[in-house]
Amino acid sequence: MAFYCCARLSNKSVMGTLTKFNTVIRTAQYAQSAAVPKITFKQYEEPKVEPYDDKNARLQRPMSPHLTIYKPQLTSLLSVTHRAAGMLLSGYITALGVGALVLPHDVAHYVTMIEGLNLSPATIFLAKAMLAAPFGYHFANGMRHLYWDTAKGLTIKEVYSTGYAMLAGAVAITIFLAAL
Amino acid sequence: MAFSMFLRAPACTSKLFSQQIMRIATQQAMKPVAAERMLSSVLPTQHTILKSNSPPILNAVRSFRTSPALLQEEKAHDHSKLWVIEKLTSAVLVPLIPICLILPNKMFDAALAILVTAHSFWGLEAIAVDYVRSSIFGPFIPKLAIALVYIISIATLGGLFYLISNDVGLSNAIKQLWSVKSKQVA
Repeated sequence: MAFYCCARLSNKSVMGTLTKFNTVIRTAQYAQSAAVPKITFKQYEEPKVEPYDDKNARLQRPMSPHLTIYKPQLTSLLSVTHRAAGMLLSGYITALGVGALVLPHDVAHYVTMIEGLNLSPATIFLAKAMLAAPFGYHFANGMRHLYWDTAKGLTIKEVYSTGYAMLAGAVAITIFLAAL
Repeated sequence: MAFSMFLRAPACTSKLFSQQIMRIATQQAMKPVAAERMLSSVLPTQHTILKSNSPPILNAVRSFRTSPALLQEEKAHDHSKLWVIEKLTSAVLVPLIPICLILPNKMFDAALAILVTAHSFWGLEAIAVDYVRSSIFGPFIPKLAIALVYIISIATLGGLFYLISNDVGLSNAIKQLWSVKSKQVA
C-alpha cells in the first residue's frame, strides 16, 4: 500500500514503476507528503452584500435617462392607459362602496340631488361619456389582454392591429354607454 | 490511508465528482425515506438546495452562494396559480357585467361585487408592487402601500355589500345614477 502511495504521489504509473523500484526510492518524491498544507476550517460568515441602488447612491453616480428618452409608441401608450383606466375604475367602485358606508343618504337622494342641478342633455351626455371612457377602454383592452393570455396575437404586427381595433371598440362602447 | 490515496486519483479529483459529493454531503438532514428520494434526484436541483432553510447534514463544509444576484434575491413565491385565478376572474367579468346590468338581482350583484373587488385589488396590488419599491421608498412605505390597498379593497367590498343588502343593490344603483333626468326644455 505504501508503495502504491509513493507511485501515485510521483504521478507515475504504478505498473511502470514496478520495474524501476530503485529509482522511485532514490528520487525521494515521497517527501511531497510533508509539503501538503494542513486543512483548517473557519466559521462560515455571510459575505456582506450592498444593494445595487444603495451602492450607486453612496458613490453618487448619476442615473442614465430612461423614461425621458423612451420613444412614445402605441404599445407602451396603450399599456399605461390601461393601467390608468383601471385606477380610475377602482376609484369609481371604491367611491360607490365607501360612499354607501359613510354618506348619510341613500342612492335615491343623490339621484334627486343631481337632477336638481338641471343639467342640459348635452352636458349629461358629455359627463356620461367622460365617466364611461375609462370603462370602455379598460373593457376593450382587457379582452385584448385575455386574447394574449391564450398565447395568440403576440407578434408586433398583431399587437398594433389589435391595438387599433381595440381603440375603435373602446370608442364604440363609450358612445353606446353614454347614450343609454 | 489507502482510501485517502484513492481519493487523490484523477477520477476522484474531477470537478464533476467533487460537485456530486458536495451536493450529497451538504443537503438537508431529512427522514431516511425522503433522503432516498432526494439522492436519486440530486442532479438539477442545486437552486432549491441553496435556498433551503433547514440545517445541512455536514456543517463543516457547506455550499454557499457568493454571487450578489443570488444573495439579493428574496424568498421565492410561486405566483402561477394566483395568476390563473386572476385571469379567470377577468374572463368571468366580461360577460357578467352586461348580464348583471340587464337582469338586476341580489345573486348577480353579490357575485359582481366580489369579482370586481378582487379584480380591483389585484390591479392596485400590482401598481403598488411595481412603483412603491423599497429601493426608492425605504423599508416601511411599501408595506404601508400594500396595507392601504388591502384596507381600500375591504372597505369597498363592505360598502358594496351594504348597498346590496340595505339599499337598492349594486346594478340598480349604477342604473339609477346613470339615468338622471336632464333639464326638460320647455
